Amino acid sequence: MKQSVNSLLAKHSSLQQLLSAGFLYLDELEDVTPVELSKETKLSLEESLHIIEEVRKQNRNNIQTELSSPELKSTDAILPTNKTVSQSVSSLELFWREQEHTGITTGSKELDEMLGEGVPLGKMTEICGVPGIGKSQLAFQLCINSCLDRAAGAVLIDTEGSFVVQRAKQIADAVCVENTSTRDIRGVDLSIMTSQSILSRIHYFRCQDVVQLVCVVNTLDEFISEKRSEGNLIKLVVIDSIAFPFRMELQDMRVRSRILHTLSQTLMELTQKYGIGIVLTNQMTSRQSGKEPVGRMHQVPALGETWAHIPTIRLILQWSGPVRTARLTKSPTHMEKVVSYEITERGVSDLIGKIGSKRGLESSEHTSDTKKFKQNK
Amino acid sequence: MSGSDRLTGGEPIKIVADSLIQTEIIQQLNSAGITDIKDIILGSIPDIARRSRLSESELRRIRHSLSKRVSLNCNLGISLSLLTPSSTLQNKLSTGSACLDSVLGGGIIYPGLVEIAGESGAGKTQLCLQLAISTQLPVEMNGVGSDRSIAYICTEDHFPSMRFKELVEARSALLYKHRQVPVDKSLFEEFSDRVYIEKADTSSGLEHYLNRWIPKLAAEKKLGIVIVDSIAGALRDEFMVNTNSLRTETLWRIAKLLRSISFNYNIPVVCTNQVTANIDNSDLSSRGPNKAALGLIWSNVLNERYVLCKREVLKFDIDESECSTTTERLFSVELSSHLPNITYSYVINAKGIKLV
Repeated sequence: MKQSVNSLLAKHSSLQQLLSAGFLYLDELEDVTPVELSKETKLSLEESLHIIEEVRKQNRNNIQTELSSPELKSTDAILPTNKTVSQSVSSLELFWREQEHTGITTGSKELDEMLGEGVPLGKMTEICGVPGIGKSQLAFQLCINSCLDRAAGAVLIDTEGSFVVQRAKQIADAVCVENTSTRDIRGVDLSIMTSQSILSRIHYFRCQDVVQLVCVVNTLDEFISEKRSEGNLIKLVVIDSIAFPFRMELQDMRVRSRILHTLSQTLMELTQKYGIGIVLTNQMTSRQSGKEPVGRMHQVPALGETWAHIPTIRLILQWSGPVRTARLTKSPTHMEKVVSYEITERGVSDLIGKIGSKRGLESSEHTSDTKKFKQNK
Repeated sequence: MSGSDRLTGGEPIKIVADSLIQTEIIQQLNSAGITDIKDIILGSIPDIARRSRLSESELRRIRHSLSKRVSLNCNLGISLSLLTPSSTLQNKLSTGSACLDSVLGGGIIYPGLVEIAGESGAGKTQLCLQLAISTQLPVEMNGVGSDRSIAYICTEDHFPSMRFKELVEARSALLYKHRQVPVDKSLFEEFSDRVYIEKADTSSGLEHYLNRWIPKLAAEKKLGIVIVDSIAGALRDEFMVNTNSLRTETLWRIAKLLRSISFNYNIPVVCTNQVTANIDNSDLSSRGPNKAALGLIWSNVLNERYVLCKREVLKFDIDESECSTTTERLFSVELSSHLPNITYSYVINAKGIKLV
């Protein structure tokens, strides 16, 4: 029996385009190359490539089911493929190997020490802070730093639309330069590591709303095991930010908490199965302490008290005058502490040359900035 | 489940799940009142099982295949290396001022919600007018497109059409080069014909225009940019009268509308905002002497914020032993995920904003 193009796992609009270009059945797509398909259907090359891959997958499945039991054919297409099971068993070994490396460096030594050895694997870490304090910057940095291990990669889920790839490249370039010239992390030869090879191991999802975020998280298990079978050991999953879509769409706290809870359970399962680290960024919200109108406003992490129990580690980023500081407020192993850090063109780093007076610091920051501008010009 | 009904958007299961799920199962779900994919994705499985009389494992399977299909719309986990060097994620809109563009890496980034904050007379409207002109340039010139129209929502003042005319004329050399102007029209006529202006002085008025007028413009006139000058002006009544929680709800609703306009139509959305004095240092969200109005929630929804600052500087002239004041204007990037927090001084001349 011929299978309709409609049974493909692809965007609805793409299927429409396929149909209107005259591709009705799967076997018509078997010998087509992505470039040809893209020309015929006016689909993007990326999408065409995806469709061809799906056709091949489906064909393999069909052959297998025909061999075993033909009547299962229709349901087989919607089952997650079980082929990766043997591979994920062998990844247990890799899991233990990864456990030897205890964390992902933040780029700042002081911050790493406060957390133990960077952001830990196998746990969920939450980074909270006001807009502009550097949550996203730290998130990009962690994705890039997790790729310093040549076999490792990261998944970045962007819910705010704030990710700019040029900035990631800038940080990745700086990481390459720094690591070739000065030190050698974990004895790995970094001399030929390029920013392009780092960026190729970071996978980007853009989610517009809660539904998309939940769907992407639901399919992460499959995605990670697929990437592992291709030799990219995903080590870190970053969601930047978890708060934004939930606060924007779900005003009903009960519904919000229930969905957040299910989502975090799915993520926790991933940390256990693959030993990966999860980093979530969270916004801050104003809370009044005491009664109106005398109560003073202060800032607390968003998403409420129930959520606060879920992440294992909570880091709050704050301004202290002109200085960026990070406070560890929740950790199973380390004490509450405050350290300062800096964000430059090269990414997250220690605060260099601590100057006592705020004034001095401000002016030195200013002059270095104008210098940079002149260089740019 | 009733709570999640408040989610907007979503698509019927029937359309998304076409051929993924058997028709009978979809009918069974629909007759139990579960028609939207978000009901399956976000609902609780035991609850849906009870209502639809489907088994939980069956529902988990359905959720999984729906998740897979929906996640195909989220960039497929593409490798970042495939997005460089010419990023397909964002575009740049020129500010119409070459030095400002070079500082911003080509212009303001879109899609995204961009705010220009500053005190009155600092040049916020000026910058908006410049953006309205460059929107109509071709994409190669960092415009949005030469046939694009502009939605300009004024909340405080009238649209300064005289100044707009001056600006167009001051840039005529450049504009003529990149735009074919019909013989029977002047350059100003050509550039101002696509600027559609509405006045909204309440939050409900603003919501109305965003809900009804913008989609119509987008459908009929090829919308290129939405400018709200200023957002604080539209929300002033809200902030005077309403209680805290109502205010918050309105703010989220408007933010959601503005953001979805930007991301759905892939165009820039620019708001201007007022500033208030940063009296108590308890607000750690801002470092400057002034902070933008509307508080923390509003700051959270922005993708970028630029601050324009104008201040009088007292100068003492030794020769004449006299004090004189000059105006110093500063442009700074306060919120951005790709630009450093930098400050430059600028002047405003006939051609617009110029960094010095």
